[in-house]
Amino acid sequence: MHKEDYITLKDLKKGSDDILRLVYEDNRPKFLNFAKRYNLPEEDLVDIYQEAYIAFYDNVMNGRIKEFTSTISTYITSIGKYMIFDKLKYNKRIVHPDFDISVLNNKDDLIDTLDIDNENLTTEQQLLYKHFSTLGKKCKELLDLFYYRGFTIKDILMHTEYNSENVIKSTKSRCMKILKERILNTN
Amino acid sequence: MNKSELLYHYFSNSLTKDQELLFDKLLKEDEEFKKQFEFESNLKRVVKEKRHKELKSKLNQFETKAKIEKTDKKPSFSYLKIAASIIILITAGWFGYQNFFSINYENLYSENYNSYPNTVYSITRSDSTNSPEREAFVAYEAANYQLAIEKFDKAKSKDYFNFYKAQSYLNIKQYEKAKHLLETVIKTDEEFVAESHWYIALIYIKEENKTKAIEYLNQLVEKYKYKTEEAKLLIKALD
Repeated sequence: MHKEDYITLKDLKKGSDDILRLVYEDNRPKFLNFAKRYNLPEEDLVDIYQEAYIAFYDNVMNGRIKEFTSTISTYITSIGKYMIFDKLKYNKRIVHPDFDISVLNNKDDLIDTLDIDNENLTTEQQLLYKHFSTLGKKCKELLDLFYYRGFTIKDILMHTEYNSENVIKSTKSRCMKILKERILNTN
Repeated sequence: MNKSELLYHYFSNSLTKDQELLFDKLLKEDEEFKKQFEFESNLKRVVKEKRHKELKSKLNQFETKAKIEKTDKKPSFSYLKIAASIIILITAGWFGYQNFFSINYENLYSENYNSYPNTVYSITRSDSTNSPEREAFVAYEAANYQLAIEKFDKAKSKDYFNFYKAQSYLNIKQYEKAKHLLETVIKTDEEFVAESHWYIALIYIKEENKTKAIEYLNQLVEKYKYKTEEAKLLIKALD
């Protein structure tokens, strides 16, 4: 039995460094071995592996992956392949012809259910990023639960120390107000 | 329902159909609503970015740690391993000697032949139109080569079709048809000219035509940058 076979969605969501590392190290050689046929430099492939890993993690955290319909390595490989395609289209590189098709079965369906678009930040977002970083821990955590995890107010109530929905709502408004004010003050 | 609640439901993916209609309407007509929506969308992106940066830095730490551990590992020798290596060398030498005077074409072919992956048509996203080209590459990736050929014939012809049709024929062992198509690729100077040299050489190896195989391999080495090392090794093995 492979290590990752007994890692559950719940384990991943807890986000402990040990689990993150286990999954990272377990899938790294598999991915690089699969991707070497695309004739890209190894450092690019490691970079793509990390991006694919992050995108996979996003989808675990934001609830798009509700249960594992494939192995973790299939998820990461499918996302990584999508990213390699993007890069190849951009570079028009020559590819090594030893491609194992079986790895990619069902990949269309898999990719379509995930959110992997990741545009660079716009100037406006960069400014927002700067100010978001200056917020207090409580605000950052609450906004993260809301916008990254996609939690509802009820979910937040269940998972945190807040004792009423109204407190959550008013804290959130206050955090956003602070952000807006800080942005206004820089302009 | 007020506007901020509508936005709240949008971002927690819990809009009902009716709310969705109202949401779209407000987005078009209400400037203030639109502004707030954009602010929150940007915020969502920023929160994600923050997570990414933290995660990326963790992954880089794992990466560095793995490298350090790798270089720290000292090679360990034992007499048993050395003895085993000597036995392997002797055995390999004997088999090598047995095969020294004859070329095993079949082995050369199977050791060097690999089907070329689809690198031209991305089917990772769902297309609204299921075009014959898409169907052809779906079949190709699913290793259903006969169907791929049929679909390629139906699709509006593109530069790289000849090459992938040739690949499909190679996979179903129709070498003459494959060769003919690859020669066309070279003649018309389409994409995959270098690759076509390689595959034609392999077909000649399969047919045990040493002279022609070497001719194509030599051209590949001289003119292109594809599979140069492999081609040199094959020339050596054939000579």
